[in-house]
Amino acid sequence: MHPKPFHHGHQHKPPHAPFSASNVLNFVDESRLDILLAPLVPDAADRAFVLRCVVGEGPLHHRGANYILLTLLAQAAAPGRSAPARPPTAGVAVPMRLPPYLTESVDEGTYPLLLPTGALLDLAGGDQNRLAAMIDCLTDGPSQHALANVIMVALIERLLPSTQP
Amino acid sequence: MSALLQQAFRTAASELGMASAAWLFVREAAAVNGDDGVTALRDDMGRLWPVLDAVGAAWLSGARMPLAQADDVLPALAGVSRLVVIGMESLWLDALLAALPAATPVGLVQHGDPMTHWTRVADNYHGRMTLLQLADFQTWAGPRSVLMTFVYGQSHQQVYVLPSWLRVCGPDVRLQFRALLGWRILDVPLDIYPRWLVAAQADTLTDVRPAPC
Repeated sequence: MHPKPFHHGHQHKPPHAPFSASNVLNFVDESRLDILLAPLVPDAADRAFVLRCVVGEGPLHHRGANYILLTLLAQAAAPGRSAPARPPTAGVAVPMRLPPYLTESVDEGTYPLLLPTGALLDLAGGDQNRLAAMIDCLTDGPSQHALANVIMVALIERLLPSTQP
Repeated sequence: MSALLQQAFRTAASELGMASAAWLFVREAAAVNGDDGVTALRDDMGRLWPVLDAVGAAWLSGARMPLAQADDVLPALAGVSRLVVIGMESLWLDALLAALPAATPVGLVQHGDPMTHWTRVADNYHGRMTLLQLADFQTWAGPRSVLMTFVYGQSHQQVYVLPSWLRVCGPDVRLQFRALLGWRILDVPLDIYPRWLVAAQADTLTDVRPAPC
């Protein structure tokens, strides 16, 4: 086995050492994200709940990634840069992942945020079955993923040109 | 005498809650023998019942009333559509139910001391309290639902709570309730090993009221 040749201009660094758990989320500023998401989830208590779900609990790397992506998207979609800020008034509910044997017994088992479907329907070419499959993919899995997906779709909708005449 | 007293306290604690029963016993001991009676009660039963010991210590320090003010937690329950309670403390729940809007459903999860006669506990609330099971309390989940338990002590990053709390605050349930509220009902340190309780990470709760001094 020959040693790998040395290439000028390439640094062969040791594998990246992960940040310590106590430091890796130092960049997360929930209050900043809270302000940015206010147009999407106007009620402060609802927003605190949604924020806890996406950046407050769960695996550290997902919390950090959610913060980065949602903050950047929220900045890009901030009022004055696209459509007026308002919460989606139409869309589909995002279910909580309750035990399947309980789902029919729960009255309020959805999160306080709707998944807007306008952009998704365009992407699906108007096909309702495809739309349903997209909704399934976006809202399935842990709420940390599902809610981040929903917020991202809502923010991306604002960035897209309106298809309304 | 001591065994009978232990048995009586356990019976009372199983249906009233440890802190509520402790205030009852401490008051009675004080009524009969003053501070000496409370001191003897602590000496006799304190090691087995650390909450009783702490309430006795509070009495000997001058406290004559429990911290049972609904105002401590009502702001955290504003706009709530359902309240699910983990653990029983009658002094505190009596105060809360008297102050909470009558239309707000309150559920009590039946989990804890096997001696507890849950139907009798609920009957004391004349239909105001719904009994829930560990298997179905999540039917009360929702974005305006709150889980609440009682906090018997706090030190550093830990809270002393009933073991039932650890049965319900798992990562699945946590994201199905708006808040996980701890009602801090003792403000004296637990000097005795807190048997009957467990030390949980404080961040299993999203809010503790009243805030620690």
